[in-house]
Amino acid sequence: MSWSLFDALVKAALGLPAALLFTLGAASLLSRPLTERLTSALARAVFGLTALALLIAAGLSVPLEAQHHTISLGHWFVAGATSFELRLLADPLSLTFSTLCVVLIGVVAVFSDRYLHREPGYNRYFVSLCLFSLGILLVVLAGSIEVVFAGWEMVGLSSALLIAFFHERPAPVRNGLWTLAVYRTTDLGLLGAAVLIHHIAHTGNFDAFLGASWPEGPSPLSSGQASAVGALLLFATLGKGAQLPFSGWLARAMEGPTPSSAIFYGALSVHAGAFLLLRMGPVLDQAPAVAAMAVVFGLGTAIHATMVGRAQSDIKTALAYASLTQVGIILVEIGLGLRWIPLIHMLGHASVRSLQLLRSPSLLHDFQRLEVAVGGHLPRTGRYLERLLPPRVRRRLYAAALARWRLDELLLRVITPALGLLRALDRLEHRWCAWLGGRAADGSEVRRDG
Amino acid sequence: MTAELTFPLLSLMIAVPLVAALATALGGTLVTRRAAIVAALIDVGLAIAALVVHLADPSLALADPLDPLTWLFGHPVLRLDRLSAPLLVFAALISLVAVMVAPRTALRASLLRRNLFAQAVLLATFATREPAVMAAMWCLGALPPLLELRSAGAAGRPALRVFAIYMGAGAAAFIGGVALTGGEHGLLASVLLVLAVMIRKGIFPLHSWMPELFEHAPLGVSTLFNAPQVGAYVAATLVIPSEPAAALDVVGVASIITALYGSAMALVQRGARRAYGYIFMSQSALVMLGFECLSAEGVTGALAFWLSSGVALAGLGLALWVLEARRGALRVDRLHGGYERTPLLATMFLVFGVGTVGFPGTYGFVGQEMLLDGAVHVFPGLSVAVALASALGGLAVMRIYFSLFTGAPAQGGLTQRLHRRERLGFALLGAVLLVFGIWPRPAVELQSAVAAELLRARAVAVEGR
Amino acid sequence: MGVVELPRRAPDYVNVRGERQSEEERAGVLAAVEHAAHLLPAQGPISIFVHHNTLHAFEGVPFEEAVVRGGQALGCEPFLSEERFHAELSRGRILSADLQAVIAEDLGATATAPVAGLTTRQALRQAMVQLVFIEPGEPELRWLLAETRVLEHLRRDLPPELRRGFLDRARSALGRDRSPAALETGIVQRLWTACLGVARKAPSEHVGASYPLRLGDLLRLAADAGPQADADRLVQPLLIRLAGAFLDQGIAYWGLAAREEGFLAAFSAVYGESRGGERWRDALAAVIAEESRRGGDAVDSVLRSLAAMGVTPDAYEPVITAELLAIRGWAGMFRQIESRPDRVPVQAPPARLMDFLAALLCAERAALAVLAREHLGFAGDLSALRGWLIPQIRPPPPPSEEARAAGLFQVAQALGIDGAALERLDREESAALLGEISSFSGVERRRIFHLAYERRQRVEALDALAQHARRPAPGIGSESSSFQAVFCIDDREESLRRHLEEISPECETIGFAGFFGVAMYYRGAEDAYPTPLCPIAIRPTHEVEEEVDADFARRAVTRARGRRLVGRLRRGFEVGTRTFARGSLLTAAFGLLAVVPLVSRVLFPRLTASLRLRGERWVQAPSRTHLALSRRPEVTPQLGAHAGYSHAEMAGIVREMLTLCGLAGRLSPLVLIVGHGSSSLNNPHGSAYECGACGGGKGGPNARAFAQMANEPAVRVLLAAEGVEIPSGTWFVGALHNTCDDAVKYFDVELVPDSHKELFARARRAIELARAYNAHERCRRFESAPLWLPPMLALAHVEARSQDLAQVRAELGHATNALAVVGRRARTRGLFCDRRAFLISYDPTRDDDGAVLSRLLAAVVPVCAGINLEYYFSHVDPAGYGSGSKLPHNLVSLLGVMNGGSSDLRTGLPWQMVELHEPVRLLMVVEARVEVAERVLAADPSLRRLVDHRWIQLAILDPDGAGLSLRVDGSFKKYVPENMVLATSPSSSAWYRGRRDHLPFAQITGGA
Repeated sequence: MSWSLFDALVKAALGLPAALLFTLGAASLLSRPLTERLTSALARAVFGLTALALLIAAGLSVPLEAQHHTISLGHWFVAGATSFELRLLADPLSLTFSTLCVVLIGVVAVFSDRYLHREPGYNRYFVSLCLFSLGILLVVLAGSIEVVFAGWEMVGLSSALLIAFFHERPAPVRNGLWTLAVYRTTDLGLLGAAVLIHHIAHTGNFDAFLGASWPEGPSPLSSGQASAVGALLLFATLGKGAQLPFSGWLARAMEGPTPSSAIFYGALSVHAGAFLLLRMGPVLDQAPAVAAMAVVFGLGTAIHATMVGRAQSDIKTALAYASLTQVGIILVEIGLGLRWIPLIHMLGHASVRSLQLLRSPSLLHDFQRLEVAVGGHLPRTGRYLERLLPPRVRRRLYAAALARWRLDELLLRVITPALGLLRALDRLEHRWCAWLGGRAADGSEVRRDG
Repeated sequence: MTAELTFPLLSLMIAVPLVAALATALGGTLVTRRAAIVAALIDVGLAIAALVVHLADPSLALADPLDPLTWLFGHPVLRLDRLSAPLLVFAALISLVAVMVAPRTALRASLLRRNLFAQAVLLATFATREPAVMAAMWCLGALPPLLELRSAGAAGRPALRVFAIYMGAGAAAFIGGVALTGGEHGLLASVLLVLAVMIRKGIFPLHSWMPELFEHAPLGVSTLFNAPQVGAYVAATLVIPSEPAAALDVVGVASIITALYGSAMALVQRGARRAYGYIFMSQSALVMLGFECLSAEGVTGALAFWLSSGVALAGLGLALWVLEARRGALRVDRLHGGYERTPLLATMFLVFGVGTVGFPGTYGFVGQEMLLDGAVHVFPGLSVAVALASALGGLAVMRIYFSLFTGAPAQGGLTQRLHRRERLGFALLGAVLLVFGIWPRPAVELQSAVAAELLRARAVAVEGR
Repeated sequence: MGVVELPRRAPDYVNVRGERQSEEERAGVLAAVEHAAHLLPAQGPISIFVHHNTLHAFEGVPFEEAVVRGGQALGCEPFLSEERFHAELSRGRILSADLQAVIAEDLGATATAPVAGLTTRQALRQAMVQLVFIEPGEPELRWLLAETRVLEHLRRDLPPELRRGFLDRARSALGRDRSPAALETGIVQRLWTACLGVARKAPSEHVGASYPLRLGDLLRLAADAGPQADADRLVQPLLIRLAGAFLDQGIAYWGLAAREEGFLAAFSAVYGESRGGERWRDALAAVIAEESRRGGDAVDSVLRSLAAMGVTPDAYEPVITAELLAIRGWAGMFRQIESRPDRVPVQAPPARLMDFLAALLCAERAALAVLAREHLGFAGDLSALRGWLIPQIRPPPPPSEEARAAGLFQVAQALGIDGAALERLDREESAALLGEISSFSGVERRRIFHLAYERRQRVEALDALAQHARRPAPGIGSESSSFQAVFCIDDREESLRRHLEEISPECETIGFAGFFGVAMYYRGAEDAYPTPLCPIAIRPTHEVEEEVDADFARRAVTRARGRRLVGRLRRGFEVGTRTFARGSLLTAAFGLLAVVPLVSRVLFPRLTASLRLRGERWVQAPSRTHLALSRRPEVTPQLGAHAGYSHAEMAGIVREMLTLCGLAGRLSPLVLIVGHGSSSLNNPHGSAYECGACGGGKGGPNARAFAQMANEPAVRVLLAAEGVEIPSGTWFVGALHNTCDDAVKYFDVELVPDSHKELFARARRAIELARAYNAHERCRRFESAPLWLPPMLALAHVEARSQDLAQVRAELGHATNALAVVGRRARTRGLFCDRRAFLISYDPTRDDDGAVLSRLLAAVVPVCAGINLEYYFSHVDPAGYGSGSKLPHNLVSLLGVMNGGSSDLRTGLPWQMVELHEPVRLLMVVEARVEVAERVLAADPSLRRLVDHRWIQLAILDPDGAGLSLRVDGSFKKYVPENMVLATSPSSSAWYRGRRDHLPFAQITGGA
């Protein structure tokens, strides 16, 4: 009986946000968007109930000893040997993290209701937020790699749409597209891992390659297989988690409304990668090389981010890099084979950072209060560097930090020639058609650079 | 053992648009549109009826007493099976929506009649498996775009020539292939058929006509010509059963290259139409890839993706058409603004866009998952390219979306909300995409049965050889 | 980005590279920068927000011209959109009569001139604003013609009689047998054909080509490559990041080193090294290297850059202006810090606008050269680029016949002109008709709309004042008030004053600038350092400290210690979580605890705040304090010249205040001096809600200081000697009103003499009630506050708002301000002004020569006009003049806000603040005789400039009666009221209850 209640609760935790998304989306598609009041009431109810459901489920999981409990929502479709099963996994990892997710999303939804009051994009915002919440819950509660992937894609799209939320200005749109480009590229890692796992195990279910109980595993994959899968997963993590060399997008992502920045880039979205690696811990255990890579990338990112963040003079960018620093460290912890510490670190960091981001518009107020408390101007930070380093080195470090290590430029150096090549091919196409169509190659229709 | 239902379902379906076209031969634009909508509605109704009848009892044979060509071939030419039944609905639906949303700025009675003609040809193609009839329809089907390009005058001349050359070559290959089938040049026949299919599907390197057509012909016409993907039907019915193994690999690899090439090229286009053309090319090529896998997952995926991409791409193309009527020629290398002027169109565009590239929650996701699964067994190395193609495709779609609908709103821009018929048309396509995206099981079951049949047919043919 | 006609041919420019820059050219650049600087936003650091006229640089020209010219220079809108005005027209906020009057006045004698024999200018213009007139682009027009029914039906919004006229005429011409629908289509299509015919006959107007001034804009236009060829996209992020670091006041953990060498040096140091990044960055490094080789100062560098970009000396000014305006937020901040370093919150870096310009131009040089090469294949010298680009730009095609006919088509319908009438027009008449239509352009129509919009508001206000003066509310004018309360002139205090007088008729309220004449540097018991509390134009000379009473000194010390400890811990945590090692320890170990404040602050803001306050009480400075107000010669003040005031100075302050507001000689036993401030969270613009007269600070200390001065016996003796007697039975009490949560705090209550205790308690009770009603009245404007809230719950609602992290509209600030009345309170007492009026007390009967009025207006007009105009511009173009939506704002350097991670500094007011505002110019009504007003205006050129260039509307109210005169074209003209009825209501709350919109004036009959 308890198990059935437990299952029902976990299913509800997924079903409620999905229903909300469906309601909001259908209403907008029918050109009858819900009013602010109704949207807010629904969102409060849904996220409140979801949080409640997950809290109870988490509570129940203790007496039930739910170490590794799978819940099937049925076969979504079957084709040949492939079956796509909607499978959820409830274990300490997914239950704790999903509970935090829902609590944070609920708080942000309530916050946003007041924050976005009378904003023309109010409805659009809540649709994206729902898409995100469904996505992140799928990622967290997933019991198979396909479900992770589906959630992963939803998180990515909602992220891009919310960065570009203020779409009258070009900068948010540009940065949204940039972020999406990073996401889509690195999502290949997850897609590749999913396909590879299917290839190896003929199913994407976690049991087939993670072993019975998180975090022990052990993964039935061979070391070679685990390395390949792990490397692909790590690649996916680098994108979503804004690790080197993709870190640039996180600062660009601060274009959206403050609460969405808080939930995405302070709290959940940025940790999704780390969560994935944590979930796939048993695979990493089998693939020490990949674990070592995780340490290297995480450490590199943490150093990069802490340096860059310290030179930033606007609060949101500074917080973005502060966030990144911790995500990098969490990755290091995961790479070192720890499981519980990174989980706790993640939970704590997500809470602190989202609060800080939500408070970021009050910075001036806080600053003045601190000055009152301290009884003078606040002491200057970072003086030790002046004692430790010669000015020349300091200047170089500072310039590098201010330029954010030119990471985006680095990516552009890959992208620009590729686009150049494509443009050349495009010109060729035009010339070919022109020739075939009996038109001079430099005829009136030919554009300057194609 | 086979029960028989005698009702001229299929011939009626083909006749209705032709009759509508003839009846309005002298009518004005508005009358013709009304007739065309009615004709398409009747066709959708008939197609759904056919599907329901077929699903209720798959063993039921449909005897069409009015089958016009029985006398010529000695046996019924029109037939309904599990492959064609959903396709007929699909084709009729796209035709319906195309005529519903067609903007008046682009609308002429001649265009509508050509569309009706195209609809009839399309339905006839999907309702037969007789190679000769298919060949005839293949040639007739190319007429509407050809005529449209011709009426575009001097500006469309080069595109007309490109289109004519490619279609001519394709038709020649197809007719040649059909003629040679069963004879001693079986291999040559297969190769010719494969070539024809590759041309018609715009598979690299035989694709150049496709972006040209999209750029220069009215979007409604080019969408109706391409979105049903007649090439895929030919592949499924004529090519797969007899295709030599070597050709399989060639077409498979070519499809992967097409998918990658198209989505990459879409990223550097400046005109919206051409960018859309490349996305079309890229995503529809994945269907061919699925067929070439010859595995249950692959073929089922191909069938699913055929319909999903067809619907999504048709929606995307038609949305572009409707938007063009409101704003003039569209570029995608800058932000136009105007989300507020047409919010629903923007949302629909986004839905079709993400549906095209297989976003979870749309039917495209289902097809793509299976396709990838199928592909990875046959082309393990190249399946990375498939994934990359879909990644780039998604990016290209979002780039188009952002450039068309976001940015600073133009001062004094009029609100240009969708008309009711436009809303209805897009809602139809969107509903198909989303309903099957959330609840794909029945569709996939049907398609997986068709796939099994196709594979069995091939097994039989190969054994026979 | 200004668009100015420039010669098509590239000017010959003598290259002066390598030569010493001549003094003449240097002077040219200096002058150009000086000129450009006037156009930059005058917004200083955001922590001291001061309202000012956004287009202050254009005050020398009439308002209507200035908004158009300023709009062109800054790329902003001059007026609201036509769409908005049409909405106002259809909801009755603008009346047809207003439009008619305004057009007639605007056209003057030519109003009745015929146009093409069909109509008059007046009728034509009236038609073009009365019905929606659209000018769609070519594709939109094609869509309209094809997809909508404009060619089948007469327009829907046509008045029925016009429609009937069309149909009747057509029926008589075509016969009765056609159906009405067919008839209508016939009419419309014939009309359309006729319009096309007219357009065909009239020659197309020549559109002169104009090119952007900035080379970057020109390049973008010519390259046709979308945003790829945008130099700003390369240059601005680089510059913004460095500028943020350079000006930073403490956000960054590591500050920029060697700031004292200036921005240009920092720019060279940071960006001067190239390590094979993007091509344009290499080019920039090369430019920097060259510049440092050449040497010289920033001016030399600017001159070299201008030369390199091919700018001739005669174009210095427009080009430099355009360049700086393209990044005007940051440029303006450099300028502000350069000119007022004392306003910087922590430490002013050596900011110089010239340095900024030099860096900007260096970067642009590099970027433009690279872009021109990459996108256009231009390999020549950058100085020749302009001449090379211009021929490549295709001029826009002339408007099509349909486009030209479309306007006429709409007008003809609105005027009831048939196709037949248009067909008869000859060539000249056609041209005249089309010319007349196109001469009434979009901007012109919007100007007319704006004037009508203002006219309606003005007529209503003046009518109400006239009626109120003629028939004062009962009870007004009795001189026997038992207590008086002096409030700030702020429009937000209007409602509190009204409610107070309604509740307690024995009270009289007075309006005076909220610093009450006490200009000081003030340091509170908890404050770290003194801050100025006075209007921004004044630099105080006195410093005043708040001291804890001697009995509590020990407690004060321990609490300060506790406060410091808590502060250090909090600071340590905040900074720590952003670092590497400390961050991971803190977030991992204590992070989850953050869920508690996160949930409680968002879900239960009021409860959390009260808990927090309770906790903080343990570390607060003791409440028993006093002001060290008297002069202490032995103390050297941190700021200013003197610590404290001498008695003579105090007497001067008190005398001035009492005289100006007309209180002298008629003081009640109790006088409350109420300053105001505002406290809210999540609000970088918080300072904009505080008291403007206190320079964006809270006016409580000023009120307290004033009361203390006026209570001082020695001061009273001095005053009495000067003839300004303060009766010994009069006591002053200072207080602070928080306009956000409507709390009122009193100072030095324990000093109130026993004789006044009872009276003070009565006054206090009245104010308690009044503030609840004030909150109640405010809540009607908050959509999130239900309309049924009773006053006490409304008070709770506004308290929660002020403590809510998520609340972006904690209060509405000065939104809706529209009116200022300078005169006796009797003239406005009992008049419901809907929180839209600045009320300034002034007694014309004691000021025959206008000396008092002159002083008063000089002080209050700039303040009121500044607030009003800032709200005007921020509302009219929220993205251009205002700072857009608050939601993506990101505090940078503690000085201002950006959108997202890297944008220009957003000056002006955020949309959430001005959303409800009606953008009208301030209507100033002064109670004075015409001669006095003329004299005052003549004596004050800056006031006259504001009035006669129509930046404010000025009316005068006859002190002896109810006559009004309006200032029109440099003289006062008698105003004739249009509406002789003024609504009445038993109480304010009865008038506003249940209504959200702007409310009309009403006379409150119940109170007073």
